[in-house]
Amino acid sequence: MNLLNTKKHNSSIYFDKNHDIFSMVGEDAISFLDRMSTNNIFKIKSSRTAITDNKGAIIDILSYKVIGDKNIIFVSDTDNNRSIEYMKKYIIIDDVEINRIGELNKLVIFKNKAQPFQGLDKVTLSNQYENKNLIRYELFASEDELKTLDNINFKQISFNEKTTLDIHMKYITFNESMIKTNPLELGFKNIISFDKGCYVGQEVIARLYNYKKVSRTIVPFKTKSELKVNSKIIIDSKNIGNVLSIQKNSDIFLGLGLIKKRFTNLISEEILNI
Amino acid sequence: METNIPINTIKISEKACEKVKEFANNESRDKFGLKVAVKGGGCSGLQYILQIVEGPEDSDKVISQNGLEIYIPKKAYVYLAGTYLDYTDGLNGKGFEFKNPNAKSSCGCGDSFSV
Repeated sequence: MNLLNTKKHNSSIYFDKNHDIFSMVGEDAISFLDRMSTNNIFKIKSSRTAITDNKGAIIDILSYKVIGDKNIIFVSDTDNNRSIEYMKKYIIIDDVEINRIGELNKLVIFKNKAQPFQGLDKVTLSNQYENKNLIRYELFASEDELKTLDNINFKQISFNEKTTLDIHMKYITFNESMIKTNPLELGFKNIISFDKGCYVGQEVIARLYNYKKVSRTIVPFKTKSELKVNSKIIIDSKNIGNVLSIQKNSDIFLGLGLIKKRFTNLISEEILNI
Repeated sequence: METNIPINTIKISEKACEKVKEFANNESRDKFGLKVAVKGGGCSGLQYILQIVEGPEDSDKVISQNGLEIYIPKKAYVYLAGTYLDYTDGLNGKGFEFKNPNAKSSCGCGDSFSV
């Protein structure tokens, strides 16, 4: 797919596979998603939110947009029906319907903070994440919406380049290998509301946060060993955590590890002998 | 405290009935009943709902106890069958309190539960 002008290279763009988009419609739609997930859906109309279970473990991460007072559209990081089926179990007396409404192109754009992307209002759904002088935009757009972005100059990048940039920015796309993690250890503090009241998993997440009991954290690392996602990271015979994402860059592997906090001193910018 | 509530009903204590009537009288309601329901949310996944309402909806199960009508939406009934609703006041009282045999765990404040 090469719908955009990629001749000039002042921004990077990656075209992901298409994504299912869902609607949550009804009198109780906003209240329902607010009760089922970490973000404050009443206050923050467009962002990401974590669906968690009653033990605070992530089921999925949704990118959502509130439209009016009875309608929310959303896509899920895992792009499967797991979180949809999970939420449907909790629709008992609420006036809420969740339906798949179509499919959208997914684009990931990386821009320098000094030159933010200006086309967010032209797409159906978007979210953004900032770190290390970069902004990472995730856009979900129809074919027609893509055409309206055609006058913006991008350098098209490969999946490997996109993954390398994600690792550099410590950006996590939630996937099924991360199911038993909680949003605090994956660095999703910015999509948790600590003052909105109860949601499923709130008691555990609030306790972990307030008593500083989060035991693992994300740490970037480099190694010459060929590790895979979910591999254990063993240093000095100690199992210090596991690999969340990894990408080969020349002869070195760059990765993000979910590391037990008491061992983070064992990881440095040096190439690790794992 | 009642412990053996038949699973085909819910039971509300005399004290809880009196308290509901007191709240309704404070609102100058002539005709009222107590809606008891469950919806998704709360720390544990399912949260209790108590509402003083004028009458039942078509899909509600209606139970009469101690001169009070209780309305339970049929979809919520599966989570509430066998429940005992009590009321405790005073300095250490918890207000309305659910003893629900379907609840595997509850959150700290007792407002929500999981099955």
